[in-house]
Amino acid sequence: MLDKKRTLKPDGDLVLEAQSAPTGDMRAFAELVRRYQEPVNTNCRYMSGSPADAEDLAQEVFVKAYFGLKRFEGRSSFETWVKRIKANHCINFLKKRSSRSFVDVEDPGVSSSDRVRVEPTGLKGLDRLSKRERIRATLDSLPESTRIPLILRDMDGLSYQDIADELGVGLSAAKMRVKRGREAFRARYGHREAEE
Amino acid sequence: MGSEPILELAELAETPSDGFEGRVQRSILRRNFAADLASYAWFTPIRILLEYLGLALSLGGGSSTEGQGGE
Repeated sequence: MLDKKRTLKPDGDLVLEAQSAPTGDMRAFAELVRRYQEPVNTNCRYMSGSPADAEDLAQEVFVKAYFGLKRFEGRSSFETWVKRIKANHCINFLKKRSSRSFVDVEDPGVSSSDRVRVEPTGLKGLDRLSKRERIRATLDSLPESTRIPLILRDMDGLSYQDIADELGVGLSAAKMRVKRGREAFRARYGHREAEE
Repeated sequence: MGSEPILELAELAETPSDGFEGRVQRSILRRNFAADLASYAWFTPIRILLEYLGLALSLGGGSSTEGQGGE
């Protein structure tokens, strides 16, 4: 354990190595991927709300980071920089997805379909789940408008200003959305805990 | 209360499946290859054009020199 810590290079050194590495030599960058694959994948999972898309999104985040590495000047930490790439990428993904998944509810064939019927109690059956699964299900049940700011703040630790920039809203609106996200999460999660 | 962070969110961790790192590397290599191919696709016609221009200039230059030499 101690040896492992001693040999662990700081991110900054790895970034410099990766920046100066010849094309095809990805040893330094691979180490950065190993370090951040879990938090990036977790964030992508909850921002997209889709386990199926999470790994593809995380993969694209690292590919973007690799090709943007030459322009990375080290003004922030590599971790913060990757988080911003991830936030940006996931938000763009959600925008594209919402524009793609248009369903005409006036269409009689669609409105009568069982596939589009949404249960009002999306958290039904949550009581039987473990604490971690309850957190997961509660988060997934939140609408994007509150889930994304909440994740960016409480999971990513981005500043309110960064959140405002990512979402293209004002600072006070970003704060309000985070606050609403927290309230909604607590209401849904606390409700389930109280029921148990 | 609403402005306090949700500490439970820090408990969430989703480990990507095995081979994730390899997939990232392969994706990067594929894009590098595609970029090389694209730059080659641009470069080759330009190179051919320059060769033709060079040839035309050398031929044109050669004939005008011949003409001047004949006076």
